[in-house]
Amino acid sequence: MRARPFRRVLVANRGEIAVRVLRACRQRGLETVAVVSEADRASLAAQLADQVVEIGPAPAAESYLRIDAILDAARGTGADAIHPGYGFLAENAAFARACDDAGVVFIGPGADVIDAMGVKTEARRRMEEAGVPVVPGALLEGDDPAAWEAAGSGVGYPLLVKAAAGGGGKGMRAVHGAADLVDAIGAARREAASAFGDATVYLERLLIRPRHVEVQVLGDTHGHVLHLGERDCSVQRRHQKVVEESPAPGLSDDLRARLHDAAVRAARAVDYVGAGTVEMLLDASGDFFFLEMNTRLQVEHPVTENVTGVDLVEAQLRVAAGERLALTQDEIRAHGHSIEVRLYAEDPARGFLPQTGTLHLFEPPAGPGVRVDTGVTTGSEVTLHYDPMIAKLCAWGADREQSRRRLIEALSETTVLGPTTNLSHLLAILGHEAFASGAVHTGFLEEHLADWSPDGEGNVDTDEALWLAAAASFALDPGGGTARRSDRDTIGEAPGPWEDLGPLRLVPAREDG
Amino acid sequence: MMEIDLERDGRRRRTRVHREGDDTLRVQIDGGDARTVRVIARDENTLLLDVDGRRHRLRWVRRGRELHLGLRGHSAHFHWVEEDEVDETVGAASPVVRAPMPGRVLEVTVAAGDPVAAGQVVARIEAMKMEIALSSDVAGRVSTVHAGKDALVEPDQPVVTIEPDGEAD
Repeated sequence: MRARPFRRVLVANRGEIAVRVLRACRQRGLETVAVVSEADRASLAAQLADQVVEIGPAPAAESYLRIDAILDAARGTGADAIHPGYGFLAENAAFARACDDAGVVFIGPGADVIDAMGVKTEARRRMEEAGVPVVPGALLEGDDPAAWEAAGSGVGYPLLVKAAAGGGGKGMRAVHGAADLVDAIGAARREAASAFGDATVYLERLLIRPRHVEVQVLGDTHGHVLHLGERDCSVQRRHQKVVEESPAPGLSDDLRARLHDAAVRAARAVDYVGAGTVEMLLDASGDFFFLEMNTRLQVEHPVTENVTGVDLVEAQLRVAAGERLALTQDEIRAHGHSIEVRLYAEDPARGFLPQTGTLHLFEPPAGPGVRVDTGVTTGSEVTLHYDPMIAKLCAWGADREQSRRRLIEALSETTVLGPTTNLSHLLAILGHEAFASGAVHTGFLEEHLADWSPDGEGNVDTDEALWLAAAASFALDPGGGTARRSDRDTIGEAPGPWEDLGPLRLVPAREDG
Repeated sequence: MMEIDLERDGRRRRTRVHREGDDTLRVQIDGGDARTVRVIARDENTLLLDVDGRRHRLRWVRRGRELHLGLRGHSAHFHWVEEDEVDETVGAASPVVRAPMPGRVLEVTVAAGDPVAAGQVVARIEAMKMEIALSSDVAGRVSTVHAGKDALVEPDQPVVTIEPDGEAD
């Protein structure tokens, strides 16, 4: 990053993170530019920005991933800095480089750091050099199955076959014994080649019931690197984080300090600048291993902000402008506890299939310690073009239990009518005694909620009579009586809100009294 | 007493509803135990019920034949089942002018009581970046305007209902 002061920031993203960044820019007195796809013309981000540039059709490949269109928009609007948010181009070194070449400040680390951390084998090498523990692993070179098997025994079973250029679970295979290794490598190589254009895979020890613990780091261009404590993001579904919290529950002070030190060493090893996250796997014995470094703002950054009081996006803007970090490590203290959940338009009863449609009614929660990050409002559309996240719902409490209870109440007061959401699943997680006790690990959902369904026992959902009675009350409308309607489509004796249906005659199935 | 069929999330339930007084219903589902439901209040998006002595605050939205209800982080989706579940308007001239696709009402060019000729444009909606003129199939008089300017409409949602000529008032 070539840090220097700027005055107009283009936000190269959409949804809640675009809104989050736009707000931070406005708070700093910076002018703002939003780039939007055709589908996001009326989005909240488009409403909050000073200038809006439409950069292409709905598919991300034709809009939010188009480096040329985004840089054209920056030129056209006079934007002298670009914030990439997370996802899309946030970890694209070519984009960071193109910004440099165009004379625009890329709000993130330098392209070389993105490159180094983006290739997992290179990241592992750099971390090993810096003395950061890495999971036992081996890069596979050549096509000799005998060499693969030797590498497999060296790493130890169970192990994971992973694509070197990969991410998001593609090209990934779990192998529980030597007999399955060669087939799994073959399959992973084919998948990696088609997904990333690079068939290189590596082996990595598979830890049993590990926890996903990550450390937030922050570096400036004056050589300072700080950590802002850790987050536990162990509750995951198919490698997607569902619940995130800070601090990680149940760690000893010693372990916590070692995690933080390792993360700072990792960041220093690459002269990290900006906000970044060092992800680690923590196994049951207290050993932890470097997983990867995310060279960007994380989705779950609000929990860290809640407990440290540091505005991470503001810090990114300061650092990108060449300022020094305003805090020293000693001044950063974790205060209380914060938990975040991701509210998605997806149907838990149908394998968490993404749902689309209009948010007929969206009412986010409120109350002490409650934070909502969202890019949608009532009337917004959830489409298949983008991630179906509706909001991040977050609660802060003086301790973990207060944070958990506040979040449960906040979720209970959240209304999403329209697409089905995972709200009831989130409530089941937060309400589970294993979660309440802090016993989280990456197999949490499989172990505790594999058989959960929205219709299962103990859910409000199961009181069918209540739901049906509520619906039936619309038919008879016993409390109403102000509306009028023709005799033709009368339902019961009194008019109801169904009357607008007019001559469709949504009459009772039978009326006998 | 009446019986109604409500389909919840795809399952059809026969619900018997007794009315007891101004604000109270007795509701029995598929022959099970009856529940007493008192409607404490209902206004836009809020339905306050007392069910067997306990208060529940529901959120609701209705779109055409669909009713969405929300309660304490849970939601349910109801579809009102018609007697024969056949749209009588299909294939015949309809007195109801409906939105052909999701969109926003740009204008309604008639008001209740206005005479309307067959083929006359009664409203315009904006959908998928196109402006679509909605015209009446029948001649008659406007009986109801269901959606005003800027209202968001779903496919098949009635916009204007015409009382055809020749039908008694």
